[in-house]
Amino acid sequence: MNGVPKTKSFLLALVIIIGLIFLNLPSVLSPIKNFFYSVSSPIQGTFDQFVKQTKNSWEFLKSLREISKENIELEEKIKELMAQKVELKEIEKENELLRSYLDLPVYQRYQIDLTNVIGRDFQGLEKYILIDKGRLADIEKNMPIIVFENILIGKVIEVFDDFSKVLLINSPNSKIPALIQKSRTEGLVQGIKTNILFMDLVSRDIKVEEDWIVVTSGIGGVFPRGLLIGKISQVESPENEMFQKILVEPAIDMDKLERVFVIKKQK
Amino acid sequence: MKLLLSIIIIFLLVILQSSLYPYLKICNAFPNLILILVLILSILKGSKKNLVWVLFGGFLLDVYSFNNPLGTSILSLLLVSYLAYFFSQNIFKKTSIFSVILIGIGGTLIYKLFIIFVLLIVGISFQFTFSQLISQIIYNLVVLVPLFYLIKSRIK
Repeated sequence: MNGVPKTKSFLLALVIIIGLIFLNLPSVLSPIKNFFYSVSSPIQGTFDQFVKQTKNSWEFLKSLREISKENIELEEKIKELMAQKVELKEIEKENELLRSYLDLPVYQRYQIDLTNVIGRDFQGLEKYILIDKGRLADIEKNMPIIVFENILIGKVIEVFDDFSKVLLINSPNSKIPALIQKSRTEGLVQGIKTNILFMDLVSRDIKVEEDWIVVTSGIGGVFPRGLLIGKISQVESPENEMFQKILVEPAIDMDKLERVFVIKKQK
Repeated sequence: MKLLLSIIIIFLLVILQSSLYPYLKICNAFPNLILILVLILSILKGSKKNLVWVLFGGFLLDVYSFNNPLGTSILSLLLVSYLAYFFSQNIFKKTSIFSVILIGIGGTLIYKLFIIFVLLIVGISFQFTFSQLISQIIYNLVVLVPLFYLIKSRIK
């Protein structure tokens, strides 16, 4: 068979590759990975830009037909929001008062650093992103990653010189000490599917309802207290189990991340 | 020169795959362009001639997939490439659309399962769903079949 490599070289290659898999030396591999990420980062940025522009144009064309229908819906929404605005003004005043007694917002309590998402895990077996700042920008392992002011999306799990690998909260490997805001019940949130999280360790006798907000509890010290994780989308209390089955919908779509913040340290 | 061109194409394909994935994925699956090309080249040229695709393509898939230990995809592509060549030469004497589809299904299955097998041995946890596997097989076939005939006509 001409198309098959010679047995000797084939076996040699096999041994080297198997060795690589099992040795998995981060100190040797880290600079190699950093090099490839550096080379690909500008190209990937161009590709990303092109894909986004194409998608936006396509969505704009699609949306033209639905605009009039949407208009009516939006007018209704405006009325609804006007009513809510009045209510929120009151809550805002109350909130300001409480905040002065309690904690300050995350961006005031911590030093945060803006980074760009330049890569995503595309083999679909885990949930990672790559951000464009690393060791040289003082990024360290376990630093929490947020979007907007306080929506938690993950934590740094590997740091290269110029890049960092982030484990997203929807990964089964991610375990976050969490708190149901309304009932102050603590539990553990972990990823199960693309955009569904599972909250474990919440006892059956505690009242939990859909749409309640889940935030970080701050236990363990990795994630600051009060970062938004998501809202409860489903609650089940199987009779023969100790804990409730609580599904949480993340506050943000993890596929649409472009810029994220790294929470560095307490000010 | 040909080698350098292959390396550049492989590099661009992996980056393209990474960029397109969040927008075009179905059930967390997106066509694995390197796997597809390795399968096509194995059928048409034999597994020795596409060694650069297996080695560099597999290496980049591992670097950019973030979860796999380096070498996992190389090993998986090596196995898939050899089997695709073996089946196309010995089992399916004449290349037909049927044999391309079967090699596409088998190749994707073996590639995925082998990676899962390695991750289990090394002790790295991962997410796996059947819907993702099925979606990956179908998605790969949608790209593989037309691309196979396109490349075949060019090679001739």
